[in-house]
Amino acid sequence: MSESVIRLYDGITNIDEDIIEEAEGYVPNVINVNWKRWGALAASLVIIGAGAFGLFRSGLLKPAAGEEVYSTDSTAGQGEDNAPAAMPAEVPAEEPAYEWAEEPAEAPAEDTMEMPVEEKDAVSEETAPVNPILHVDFDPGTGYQAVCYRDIAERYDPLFDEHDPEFIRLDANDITEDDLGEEMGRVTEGECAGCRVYRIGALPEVDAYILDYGGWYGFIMSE
Amino acid sequence: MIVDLYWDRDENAITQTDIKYGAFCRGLAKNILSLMEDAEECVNDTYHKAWMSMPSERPAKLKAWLGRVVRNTALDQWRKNHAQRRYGGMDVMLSELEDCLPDPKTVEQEMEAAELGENISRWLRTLSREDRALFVLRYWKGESVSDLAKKWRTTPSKLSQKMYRLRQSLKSELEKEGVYL
Repeated sequence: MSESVIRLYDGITNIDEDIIEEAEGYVPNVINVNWKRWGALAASLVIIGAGAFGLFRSGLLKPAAGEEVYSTDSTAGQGEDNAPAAMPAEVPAEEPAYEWAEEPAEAPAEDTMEMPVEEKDAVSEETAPVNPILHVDFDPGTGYQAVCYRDIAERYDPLFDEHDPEFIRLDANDITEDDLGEEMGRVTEGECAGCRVYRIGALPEVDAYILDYGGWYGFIMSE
Repeated sequence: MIVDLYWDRDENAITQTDIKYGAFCRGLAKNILSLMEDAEECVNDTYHKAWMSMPSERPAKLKAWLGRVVRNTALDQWRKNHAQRRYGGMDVMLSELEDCLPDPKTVEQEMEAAELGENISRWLRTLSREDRALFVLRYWKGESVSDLAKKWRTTPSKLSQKMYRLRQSLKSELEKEGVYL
């Protein structure tokens, strides 16, 4: 061992006493490392919780069941089970099936409502467009009127026999899934937002449609 | 205060010193000399030197002062016995300290231990508290790398790398300051 190292040893022996005291009392920061770990874990949980809450509030995360007013599936034939809470349990047989159309506060006139319908390809793959003329017939902002089948029949066929069993029934309460024609899309705004719109199966070429109001059906026709 | 007992030439001073600082002195001596019997002898010599040094000296911090005496005594003991026995702890520690030496070509000037101590103290104050504690515990107190690694909850190899960087840093500092050993 060289003398130089011994001198260095002597030099270290003479370092300031306060430095020695400090080193003697020094506790490595290992406890803080544990706190950092737990702190990071807690922060992660808080962030995840806040994120989930935010998603829920924003509507991207929805409860598993029971909250959808307008089902994306065809509910024709399922009757009251899927009917929205605001809907009457039963519509009197003689009343027109477009009772719902009288409700909107901003309706320009009685029995008239704005029925903008989005293009189906903008909704989801499930509602991918089946009819390329959808945007022509259902441009957003186009006005549609709730009507009874008689109105449709009179417009398109004055000689139509309302008792002809070959044709669709007059009463919208009697509409079933079998009466639905080609799906046109869904209403994007207003009280009926989310409702699916179908051509009338028996009259696919007319400018009149069936509105699926959560399991209840109504006829609509452009003004 | 224990220092007052030394100044009063009260023989109880050594007993009180042993009660309060005995473990510290033995640990330090054991770290340097490795053998417990040599460490015990070193500590006894330290108490004797303390008794002889006071009241001419009045250490402000008795623990650090005792530690310095232990180190000097241990070095003397190491020198005395080096021919017959090999002290693992001391040899390893001094071997590591050789890293701090400036190149032999430039070793021209001898420095007093006190001045060198001031130099090293200045360098130590530039370090983080953790690095400073590491250096002091290793090279002043003589704690083994494995023990320090346990305290720091790291591996001895990682700690050795850190110690190597510290030694290189001290070497640079000493060369920069024109300190030659």
